[in-house]
Amino acid sequence: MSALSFYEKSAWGTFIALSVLGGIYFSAVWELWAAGQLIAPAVFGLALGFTIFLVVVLVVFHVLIAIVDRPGDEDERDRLIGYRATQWSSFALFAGVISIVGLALFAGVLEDSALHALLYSPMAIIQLLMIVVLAAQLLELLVRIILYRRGT
Amino acid sequence: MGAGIANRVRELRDAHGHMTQQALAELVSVSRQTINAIETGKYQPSLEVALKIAREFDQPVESIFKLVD
Repeated sequence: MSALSFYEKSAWGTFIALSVLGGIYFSAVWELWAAGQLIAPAVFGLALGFTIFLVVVLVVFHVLIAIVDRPGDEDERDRLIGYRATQWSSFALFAGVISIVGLALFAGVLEDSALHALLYSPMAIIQLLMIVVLAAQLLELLVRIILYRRGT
Repeated sequence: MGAGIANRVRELRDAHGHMTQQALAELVSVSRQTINAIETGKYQPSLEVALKIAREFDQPVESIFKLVD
């Protein structure tokens, strides 16, 4: 009998996969940016590869844990943990997006600055937004794991 | 600081022929991990689940779940 429920295993696996693959993706984006190659075709190919690989990894992982521990419906504890984790990630997403908008407005004032050069590149803005989305998702998974382990 | 809630679920399972967590979980429609979380005080069940547990053990709910300071 497994100590972790299907949903807790799912949170752990997704957290690890997103952390590792997200780290690889953004290190590749950083290298493109450093080389002055942060252009749409390169970023699109990278993002497409990242998305397909992530989906394959998560599907294989969930099939494997479903074989070991047949998933039932979420019960009230799973739902409560889900609501609380989503509250945290929603706030993080909101704060992150507002911060990027604020930075972009600020960069607009400083026309000859490096900040202006960075934030007035659509590709850079897209990557910053992707970082915020990834960070919010990781926070949600982390809160789920903590609530499963330490209690609600 | 609010009061905590203690419970006798583990004791009552043992008293009912060593009923397993899985068996109780199936009777009250939650996961085995949720029964374990209730017994270890990591999760306070809803009134609905508390009443279902009380029904399975044929005990009043207040004799199973108690406020502790």
